[in-house]
Amino acid sequence: MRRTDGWRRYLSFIGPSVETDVGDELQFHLDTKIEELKKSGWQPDQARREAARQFGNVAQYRTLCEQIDKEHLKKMERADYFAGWKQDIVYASRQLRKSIGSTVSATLTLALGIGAVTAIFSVIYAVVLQPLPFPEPDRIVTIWTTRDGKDDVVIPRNFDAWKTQATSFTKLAALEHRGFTLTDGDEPIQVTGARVSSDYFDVFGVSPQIGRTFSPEEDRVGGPRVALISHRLWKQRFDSNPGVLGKDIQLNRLAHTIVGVMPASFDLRPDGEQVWIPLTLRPQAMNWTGGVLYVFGRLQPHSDLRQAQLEMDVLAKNLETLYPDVNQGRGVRVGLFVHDLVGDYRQRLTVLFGAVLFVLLIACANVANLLLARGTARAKELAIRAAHGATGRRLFRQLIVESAMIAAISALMGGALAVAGIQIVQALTPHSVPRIGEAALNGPSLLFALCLGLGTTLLFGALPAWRSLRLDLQSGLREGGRGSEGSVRDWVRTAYVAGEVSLALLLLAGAGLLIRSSIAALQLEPGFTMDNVLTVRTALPRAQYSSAKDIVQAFDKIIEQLVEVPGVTAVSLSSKVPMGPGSAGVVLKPGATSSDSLKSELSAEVRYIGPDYLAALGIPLRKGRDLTGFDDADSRQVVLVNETLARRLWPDSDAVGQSIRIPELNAERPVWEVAGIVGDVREDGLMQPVPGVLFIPFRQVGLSPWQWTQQSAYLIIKTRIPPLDIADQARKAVREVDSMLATGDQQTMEQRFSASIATARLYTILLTSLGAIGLLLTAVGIYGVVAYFVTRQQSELAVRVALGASPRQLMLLVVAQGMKPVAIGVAAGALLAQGLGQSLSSQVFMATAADPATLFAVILILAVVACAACCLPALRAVRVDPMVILRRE
Amino acid sequence: MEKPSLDLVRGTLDLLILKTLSWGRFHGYDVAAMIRQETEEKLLVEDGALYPALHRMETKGWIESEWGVSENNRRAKFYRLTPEGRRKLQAESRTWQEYAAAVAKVLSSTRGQAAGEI
Repeated sequence: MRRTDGWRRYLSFIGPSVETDVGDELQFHLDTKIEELKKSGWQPDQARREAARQFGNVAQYRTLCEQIDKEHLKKMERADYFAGWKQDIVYASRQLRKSIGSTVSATLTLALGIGAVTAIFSVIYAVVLQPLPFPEPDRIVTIWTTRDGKDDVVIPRNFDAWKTQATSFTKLAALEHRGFTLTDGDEPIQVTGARVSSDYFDVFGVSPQIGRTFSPEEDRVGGPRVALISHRLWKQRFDSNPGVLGKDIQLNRLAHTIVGVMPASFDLRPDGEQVWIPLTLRPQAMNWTGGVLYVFGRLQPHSDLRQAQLEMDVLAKNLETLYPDVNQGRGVRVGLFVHDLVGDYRQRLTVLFGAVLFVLLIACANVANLLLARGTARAKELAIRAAHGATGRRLFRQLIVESAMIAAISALMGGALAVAGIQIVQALTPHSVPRIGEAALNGPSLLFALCLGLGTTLLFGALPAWRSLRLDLQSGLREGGRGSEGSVRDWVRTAYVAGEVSLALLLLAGAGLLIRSSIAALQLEPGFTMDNVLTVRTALPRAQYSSAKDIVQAFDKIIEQLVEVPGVTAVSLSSKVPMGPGSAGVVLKPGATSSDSLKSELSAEVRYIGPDYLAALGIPLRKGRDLTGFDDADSRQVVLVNETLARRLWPDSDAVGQSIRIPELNAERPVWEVAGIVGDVREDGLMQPVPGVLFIPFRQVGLSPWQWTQQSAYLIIKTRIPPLDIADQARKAVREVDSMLATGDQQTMEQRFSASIATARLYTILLTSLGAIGLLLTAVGIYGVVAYFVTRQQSELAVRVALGASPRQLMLLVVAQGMKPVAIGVAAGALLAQGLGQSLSSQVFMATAADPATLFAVILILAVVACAACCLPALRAVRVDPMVILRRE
Repeated sequence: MEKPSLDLVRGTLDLLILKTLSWGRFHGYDVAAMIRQETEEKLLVEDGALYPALHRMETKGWIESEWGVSENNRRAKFYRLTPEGRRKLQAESRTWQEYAAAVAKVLSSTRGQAAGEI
């Protein structure tokens, strides 16, 4: 006989107490012994004592037996418990295998939901939630100059003033972006870099991986030329060789000694700085009127963001009084570094996360309905098992185990899908998103996935299982598996469908808005012709090119070379290309223009262009004339303005022939005459407003303004053939003029355009895909529920047919019934959409969040799909022969 | 005879109990009495020592118990061998006999004296 049964019999015969049993057993022995002794003539007391003596220490033996029995009992209970679970799992897997179709679809649905949510969460964690790899990252701040509420970079004089006067910061450092041509023997390359003050790295609290950071002595004019390189550059260019310390590299043809390498954790963005050199602010820099510095600080332990902001506000006011020419109307904003870094990705990712969560909820609702239907079909089987002694709790446990198994498998599959999903997102995301490379299925996101698996089990498993607890066994047996308490179940099903529909509506509404805004944006004219244009940047190092004449000569020669390349139709240059990086600007003061038309300050972008700029980019000339080769250093200073600037500067008169004072460009000859007006170009991207731009012929640019663009320019090459075909020749042409020149940032204009809309496009695609998936899942869910109802009401429908109902009436009945929860869902969803629309409005361009047309279109799509989902089972119902159904009863 | 060591007693006691129960279904008192009788009081100094042994052997599955009525009309716990116990008895008996034979052989060997004696 098995151990288990013996143990059970033990229990069933006696009573549950181990102590009583042992006591009884030993007492029997003693009593029997006493009886025997009494029979042999012993007196009762003496017999009792003798019996005890012969027995030994009764209490001790008793305790020993009790211990043995109790331990055994515990072991048996444990084994029984686990056996029960094993039984449940075996049974559950058998059940799941029996209805393999619905099991697979449920698992896949959930896996998709869990995978998608986990993938997005991993991305959010890496980009937004993960703490920065710096000590106390929430004490690091960025400090901006503000003008009209917009952030702007800081002028050196202000930085100097803040450094001496501000008390809220333990460290205050500045950074100026620079591009460098790096030559170290191999082919020269262009790298992004920066000039930083000596305590820049201290602000972030990051020590170099090897070597050291700059000392204050090195951050002085005339100090030794040193440099720090990034971990990425160290790996790519120097093979992670520790021997780079002390090595000299040429940055813009000036030798710098490498004194340190920063760790990989400092590479926050794939397109971030690779090289740092000391800032060495010259005294002349104090007179600059244009901002160039990004300022970072670390808050004092006793200070916080608000206090720092208050102090800086006061300082700003002081500076306004002291230096009104540069600080008039300027404020200061102190912001958390991490917020400024992550910026609007936080919001976008949150919306995305919400969308994915909706899809998961829809998936859960589908699976719940699936299991509900299965539960109903198995009511008979469950009733029989209950009659055989299975408690409600045990049945509940079994159903939960089933749900848990589906959830566990889904979680595993979901994890695999998440890994794939993360790879896909990383491949598609532009490189400017910080820390996107770190997104992985790491600890936090794995934990998150597990919680999801658990949560979904509860969500879709609990309700059907709970129903089984309150099973009406009688009706289950009688009705052949179609319980009469179905009315309550119907309500639950209706609720699930309505919920799904409203979530799907929200998803589609969001996607619809984004699509609408994308379409609106794409319909905008960029203002220039993008096809067959190659752009490539080159910089002329100051060491070799120290006068404006040298610079102009070099660029002229380069253009000459490029024109000779076969396939080229036009060549020009520009300090900035549309949708390209960097810009230089000036602030025009009131009175700077003729006819005294400028009443308040206006900032304008400044661009140095070659003669064929308009031709190369296909920008129309609206009025006046284009710049020509005759506009050089000896002739009159002329500019072109774009329509926006013309409108702003001379709203009431013709801009052509007017003049502007721009002392920053040329202090001795500050007057420039407007020669022509060019068409507006969407310089900063399709969805950004058009800036006002001043075009200066590059031959008339003085040395100082060339510094603003670091003596660099983009070569713009219009071709007859695919532009990338001539890329190599273009580079060679540059090197013909000077073999040590490097080229960089080579892209066609079409590539630049794609990149500028990449994020928005990805976002729209993702949200639309999610909307489509949500719609599909909802349709499947509706289909399932309507099919279920049709099956359940077969007899009813058969009776109706027998009584003369036409197929059309029947269909209408079924469809109407199916569309009821859909209608509820649509109503609820539409209301919610109005409310949530506000949060999307900041990302929506040209379409208001509560756009009725989009909402209407979405409702229409939803209704049509839902209707189709209802019609299919309805058609099936109609085709069935009523006599077959009725006879079956 | 001196009292043998605890382990030896325990192992031997188990064997005796198994053997006793191989003759039928008995309660603890009878088992004690029979062991005393068979070993002529040499083993089982205290009756009580029997009971932990019985309980332990039951958890191991060699014997099983059920409550019944004794000859003197009292409620008593009866034990009997399980098939596993029967197998255990056979194995242990064989081991014991081999062991006893080996020891006896060593003790009765005349190796050292053989050369000197006839």
